[in-house]
Formats: sequence, structure tokens, C-alpha cells
Amino acid sequence: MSGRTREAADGSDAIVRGENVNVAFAMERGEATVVNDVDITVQRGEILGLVGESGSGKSMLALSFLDAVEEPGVSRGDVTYVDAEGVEHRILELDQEALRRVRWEEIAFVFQGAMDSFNPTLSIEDHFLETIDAHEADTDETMAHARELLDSVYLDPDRVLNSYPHELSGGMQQRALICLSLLLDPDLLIMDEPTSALDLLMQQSILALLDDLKAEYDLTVIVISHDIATISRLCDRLAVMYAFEVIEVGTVEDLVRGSAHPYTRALLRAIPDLGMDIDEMQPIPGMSPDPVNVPSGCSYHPRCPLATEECETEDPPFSDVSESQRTKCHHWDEAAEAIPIDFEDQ
Amino acid sequence: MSEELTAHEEAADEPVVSLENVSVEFDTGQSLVDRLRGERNVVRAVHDVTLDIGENEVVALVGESGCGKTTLGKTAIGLQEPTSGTVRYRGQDIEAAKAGRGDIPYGRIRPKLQIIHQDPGSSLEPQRTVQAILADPLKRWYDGMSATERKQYLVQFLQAVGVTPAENYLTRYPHQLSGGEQQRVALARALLMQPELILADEAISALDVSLRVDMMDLLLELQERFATSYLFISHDISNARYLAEKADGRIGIMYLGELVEIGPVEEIIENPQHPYTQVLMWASSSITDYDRPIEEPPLRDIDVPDPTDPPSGCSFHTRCPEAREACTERTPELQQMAGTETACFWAQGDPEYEGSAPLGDENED
Repeated sequence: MSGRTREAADGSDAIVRGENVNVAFAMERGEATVVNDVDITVQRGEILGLVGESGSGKSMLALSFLDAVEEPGVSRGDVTYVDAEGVEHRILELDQEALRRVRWEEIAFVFQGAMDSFNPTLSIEDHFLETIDAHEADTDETMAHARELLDSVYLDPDRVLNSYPHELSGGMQQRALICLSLLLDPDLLIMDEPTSALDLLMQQSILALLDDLKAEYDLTVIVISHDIATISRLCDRLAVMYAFEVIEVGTVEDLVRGSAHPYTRALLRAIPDLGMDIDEMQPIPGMSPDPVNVPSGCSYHPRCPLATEECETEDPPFSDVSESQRTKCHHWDEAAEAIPIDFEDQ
Repeated sequence: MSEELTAHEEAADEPVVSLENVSVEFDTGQSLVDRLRGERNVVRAVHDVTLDIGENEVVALVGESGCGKTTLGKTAIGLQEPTSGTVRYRGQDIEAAKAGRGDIPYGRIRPKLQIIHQDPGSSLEPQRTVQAILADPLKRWYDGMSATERKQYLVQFLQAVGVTPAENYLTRYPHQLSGGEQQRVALARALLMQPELILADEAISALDVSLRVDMMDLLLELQERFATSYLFISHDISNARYLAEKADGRIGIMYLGELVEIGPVEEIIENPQHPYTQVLMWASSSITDYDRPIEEPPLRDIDVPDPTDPPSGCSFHTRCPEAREACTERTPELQQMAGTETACFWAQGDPEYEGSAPLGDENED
């Protein structure tokens, strides 16, 4: 049962609309732009994978969705959160009190590394109680919900609530943290590298749990990860970031089978993958740019085999590859031929 | 690189390193307490592992955290003393050499067995320049070298690991290098000793996915150039497969301190025999598996048992989907199966296993 009551005029049902989103840090060497003019829409009910190399701006973009970039960083532009009643919240213009309500109650953010998110001196139960207090929620009712959540991720509520963080394995901590983030029934769950610190088998288990929780609690989920292969089975769509911009968006199938951006294609070819012959895998030449010194035009042009003069001077607009896929490249229609990807199942 | 830099002196007919029935146990409170077998608070980090690493060979060890792969690696290069069993370099018992009772003195063995770590940033001293970091081992092991010779020598090595122009990097500090550059400097430091075996412990895990192929290609190029072997430790099967398959090497699968399956890369990937290897392969997605539904791993229990109290019999029986009563009583040993050596009664078609009752879904352990 979904809470959607509002459809936008174009038929889409956005939960987050980011327009011209920028995140900048003032640094000695100049202003560092770590998110550069990003337009992105997250659809209610989807699982969106935000992928790219570390430092490409994934976490910063997602933090902007709840205006949580830490100082001296500043988010600018428009971020609109549309709640289940269809009410629009201009996130970057909210006061502290309104922001506090949006965080946890509407949008929950699970930071990377469960270990570091817990306070080692507090029991797991104290963490739940603290959150309940901060949001003036009903303690009995909410703790009952906490137990239900813990149970649904195969944790024994009594044992886990009475434990201190260090008494739990990494996988148990990650599961407990997901429960804590869902405590106040948010509509949007953002998870930063939810599987990176976990062992292979626990990764699969966490992904299966997320899939179940998403269905059970009508969640929209954004998963931030550098590990495309692991999260692709969970995701409906992927947004690829390079050098502080979103450069391609599409369904997982669109991007795996028909990516039209030279960077996405190069990335797919550079990642060791069991479904690709080892001789097909190739590193991407060159380095990702420094945020204070991003190349002019298309920021990928110094590394791109298709780059022309136009790419050096003109920032490419998004082109629609199909109804579900758009890509930010002047030469997107030549990308497939120039950068072939040869998976063994094709 | 000149001839004498790559020549290895010791007997070529012996494996570079051989481990024979090696076990390593730790007291959970202290760092290492010898001969505490049988005591309750002992963690069995490595249990009865036998493994040869040949010349120019790449062996990748894969397993979940806590499976003992790092301890086994450190034991193989002499950094960790085994509780029982023997570790030999070119036939020479390393512990005997350390005690001064060897034909090959330990001073000759130590530089031949090198390590690069997961986090190169923390293995390079932050307050020293690249030149100072690299000059140290040269001063220690080649005391006849002049300062000028030393500098030329290490510039050569920096170039060999792709840090160019090398001269520009000599005066930099580790924090002024990228993660990839730090790892290359750590690799150069290991190579200065003309090692015969390099333990690469999660050496590329901290690098961005897009840089991993590049780093592994470099490792392979240097393997050929310096005629070294690698013991490559990884929790990531895709990386282990890339490196080991390109070098025509082997993959070993570890579980709770034991080597449960080992064989040529293609056999481990395409045709694993041990149920644990099979579930690891099940969980290692290719990106082309995006439309395969997400499921809980086919295990009887998702959590790894407490290593201070390992299960009886086959240590995988608490999680194994194929486990039967026999698996709780006896411990399987590695046997040559289809294409791999496998320690599993189910895979081996053990008669007692065949005749015993399945453990079912309920896990009483």
C-alpha cells in the first residue's frame, strides 16, 4: 500500500527534485566545487544507485537532499522534497526546526561504516531512546516498532538492544543501524556504502533485507556505492557521477547493456568482473580531476577517446538516449562503437 | 634493471616457501602465547595448513574476515611464528634460521620475503620523505652503497613501479601522494630487496575500483621483471581471479583457519567443489547478473561461528547446506577431486557421510 497521492503534471511521481545543486568548500587553494550544477529526480518508490569513484561527489550530493553537508561546505540550488501528502519542502531554505523534522521522519541517512555511527559508550537501546527523545516520539509505541524492525532483520531484539556496539559483529551493527534509521518511518532512506565494510555473504544478506524492507515499509531508497556490480541487482536505476557531476542516468539494464557515456563505458570495462574475460578489462587512462581545477568544457575530455575541440570548450547538455536514459556527452551516439564492452554472456 | 638485481641465489629446486601442517593460535587476551593448545581462551587463527608456493607463482587466498588468511600470509613470510608445523624458505626451516641453526642465515631470508599492506598510507612513515623511506632498507642491507648510488638505485625502482618522473617524488611526503602512488611507493620499497615472495595483503582493496586493474597489471608486470612470487590475500573473488588467472596461478579458499579448497583459477571459479566455495561464488555477482533476484545466501546460518569455539568436525557444518551428522564428528582433509583439492565429505562422496542423516534447517549449535 503506497502513500502516493500526488502525480506531477508529466506523470512522474518525484520524491526528490534537485535542480542546479552545487556543493562548494572554501579552501586555501580556492573554492572547491564538489557537486557541480546537478539536476536529478528521484522517483517515489524506486531504488536509485548513485555510483562513481570515491571523491566524485556522490555522498555530497545525497547529503544536500537533507541539507546536511558539514561546514565549511555549502549546498546551493534547489532541492525539493515532496512528502506523501504531496506537500513540497524546499530543503535548502528550511529553518533548523523544520530540517530536524525532515531528517529521520521523512529522510533518513545511514552513514558509511556502521561502527563509526554508533557511540561506543551507549547501548543499542540508548541509541533508539535518544532518537525517540530528540523527535519527541511516543516511547512505548516507537520502541515496539523498534523491536518489530529488529525482528524483521533477523536480530533478537532483547539481545541486541542490551548490547553495546562492540559486542555485535559488523553485519549485526549494519542491520541494527538500518533499523535505527527506519525508526521514525521515513519515506526516503539514503544509504552510503551500505555493503563496503561487510563480507561477501553478509553483503548479499543486507541487500536481501533492504529489498524486503523497501517493500514492507513503502520506502524509496538511494544507495551510494562504488561497487556497481554488488548493488546493481538491488537497484531500479543508476545515476553515474564523474568529477562532481551526474553524467548518465538510466535503468540498470540501460547502463549495463547500452551505456552511452564514454566514462560509464570505460568504468564498466575497468572493474574486475567475473562475467568478463580478463583480457577485456582495461584501466581508465589518466586521473580524476581535482575539485579546485576541473577541466573546461566536458570534465571528462582529457581522458576521453572521443574528445574533440567542442568538448574542450562546451559543457555538453544532457541528451535523451531513450525514454529512460539520458547522458551528458557531445558524442554519445559514437560511444558504443568507440568503447566496446564485451561481457561473456553476450 | 641490471642482471644482478633479479638473480636469485638459493636452490631453485625447492619451493620458495612451503608450509607443512602449520597452525597458529592466539591467546585472546594477549598477543601471542605459545603452546597453549587445549586452553579455552585460545583462538585458532590457522589450523593445519599445508601449502607450497613455487617460483614465479601467484597464489590468491580468499575468505571472509577472520578466516585466518592474513595470519597465514604473515606466517608464510616469517613474520608470525607458527604454534606448530614448519615454514620453510627454499627448504630451510625459517624458525631454525632465526635461532641461528640454519644453512641459510635468517639475514638472507628476511629480505627475500616482503609484504605490502592494505593501507599504504599507514605503512609509510608520515614525517619522512619518499627518498628517506626507500633509502632505509638499502642502508641496512647494502651498506657499501654511496649516497649517490642509492639515489640512482631508488629512482630506478620508482620508475619501475610507474611513479614518474621519479625525481619529482623523492622529496614528497606520503600525504602528498594519492592512494595509488602510496601503494606504488610501498611496492617499490618491497622490491628493493629483490624479494622472491611478496605478501600482498588486501593490497588493492583500498583503491578505487577503476584503479584496481591498473595496480594488478603492475603487480604482474613486476612479477615477470623481478621473478617474484605473490601470496595475494583478498576478500574479493573478482580481484583474486583477475590477478591469479592472468598469472596462471591458484586460488585457495580459507574458512575458520583452514584451507578448504585450492586449485587452478578456472576450476575454482567455474567448477568449485566445496559447498563454501560454491556459496562464495554464488554471492560474487557479475554486473551482468543485475536481473537475478536478490536472495539470502543459501546457508543454514549467516553468521560465522565464534573462532574461540570452532565447531566440531568440519568447521563449516553449522552453515553448510549439505551438512550431515558425519560432518559434526570427523574433520575432512584436502583430497584431489575433479580439478581442485577439496576438504569436504559431500564432495568426496565419503561413505560414512552418505549413510548419515542430514542436519536440516534447524541449527542447534
